[in-house]
Amino acid sequence: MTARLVDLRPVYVAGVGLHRYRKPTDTPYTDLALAAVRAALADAGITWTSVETAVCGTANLGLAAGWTALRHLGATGIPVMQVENASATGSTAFRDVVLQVASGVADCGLALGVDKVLRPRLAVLNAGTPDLVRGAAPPAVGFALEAKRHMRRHGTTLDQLALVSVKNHWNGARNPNAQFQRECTREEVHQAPPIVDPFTTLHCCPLGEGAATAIVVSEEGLQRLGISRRRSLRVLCSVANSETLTPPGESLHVRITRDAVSRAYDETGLGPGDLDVIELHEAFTIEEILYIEAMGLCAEGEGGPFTESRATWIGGDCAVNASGGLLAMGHPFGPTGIGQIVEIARQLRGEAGDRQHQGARLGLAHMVGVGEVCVVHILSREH
Amino acid sequence: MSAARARHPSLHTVPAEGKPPELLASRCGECGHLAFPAARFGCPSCGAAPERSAPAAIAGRGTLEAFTIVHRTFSRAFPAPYAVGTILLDAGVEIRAVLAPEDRADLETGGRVESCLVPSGEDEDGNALVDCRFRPVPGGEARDGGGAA
Repeated sequence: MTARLVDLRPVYVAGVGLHRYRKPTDTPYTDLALAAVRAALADAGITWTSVETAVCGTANLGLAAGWTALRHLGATGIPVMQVENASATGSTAFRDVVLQVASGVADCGLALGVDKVLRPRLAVLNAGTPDLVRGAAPPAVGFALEAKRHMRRHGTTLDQLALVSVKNHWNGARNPNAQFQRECTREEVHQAPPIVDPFTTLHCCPLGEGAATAIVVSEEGLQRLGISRRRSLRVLCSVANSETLTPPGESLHVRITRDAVSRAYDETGLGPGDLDVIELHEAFTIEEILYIEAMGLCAEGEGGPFTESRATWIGGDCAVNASGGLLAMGHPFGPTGIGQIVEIARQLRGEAGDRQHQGARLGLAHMVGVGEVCVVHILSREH
Repeated sequence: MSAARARHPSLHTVPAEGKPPELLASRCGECGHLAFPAARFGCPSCGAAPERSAPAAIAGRGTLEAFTIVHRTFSRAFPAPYAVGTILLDAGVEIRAVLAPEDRADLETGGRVESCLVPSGEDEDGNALVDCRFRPVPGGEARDGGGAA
């Protein structure tokens, strides 16, 4: 029988750091990466020489981005690897470090996500698998079709979709690392430039650059390095999957999310009612509604009214995308999944400032990516 | 001038003038899975090798489950505005396709649609190319009431 993460030795997030997400600049990615790494080392109270393994998640930067940046911290000779997993790139880098530390091959590992805005090279274009909509239906179009279907089936309204954007921009306005730090109204969402019916620009995440880092440490590592247990967060599970054949009428993204989150609940004995904060992949407003349903926060079809009830706002039942999410904090690809871990760590420690969800003890991070893939982690405050 | 050729010959037929093209699907000889586009590299359901799949042309007819109007140009091949739809084919396969209605007001969720060919530039030798789109069935074919709920 295969092991669950909780069957292996305990692992903790001991330090987190960010470089603010922002629109593209001429700054070398090295500056972004090192700012996030140094911030995380300082947060954990350790030095680079304590890090025994590193994984760099980047979707756009190209071959050997990790060591090309990390070498400036001192060439310590540790294993460094690079991963790409579409939008779930950062989540996958984090998962790999978690599994390395849990397995016992390292006591202290570092996951770095960093990206610049460069045109990603999509493997599917060279896969020899043409389809009827190649070039005409990027993700914005696919999710617009899912939005239209949800609106027709369940009566979800344009106002409810817009409210996801309003909420997440309200959160982003309280996050100094968010790309957008300005609140917006429903009317502004409706009146923004149209992209694809029913989405305006404010229903869609921006392009941007940034960096995020999480330091993952074993119990022995915490003791040896003198890291505060009180500020460390236990990683309770790490789940990843990819698509299975989806019957007509069903959303592939909902299916992989439901499957991954169900497994996360099974592995931890937790349920949706136990979660205080969730960072989930809402590159488009409809996704937040689809995924809070898939995660069991509300019944299928109730995501719109549930959002209107303010249950998913900071101070509600469960704060969803308190960071501002992909819509307001941003979605620079490589950093995004690790940025979610950073936000959850800050929320669980009570260090989230003006956007603190009071009493947060348990948080779930979720990303989906082209492929399709899904990665889910649950973090817990121990004290 | 020779007959037009398909820009993506692996996806659909190019029948005589005015007839709707058929979609080139495949049927797995191991598990029976119907795949469109055809399973050129292996069956996505059971993994059977491609030589175990048989070609299966299916009618480009179905029900428009959802559609959207795209207001931004993502690719030079598809200048905005244009329409994209989710279609449940009568053969039981759900696809996405670019829509080419005579009049966008004819697009109706739950309405019947069929495949059609539109000009799609020329190949390197100057031969005309066509590409597959979907449009509302002319004359408003009676609905069969089928399709996913």
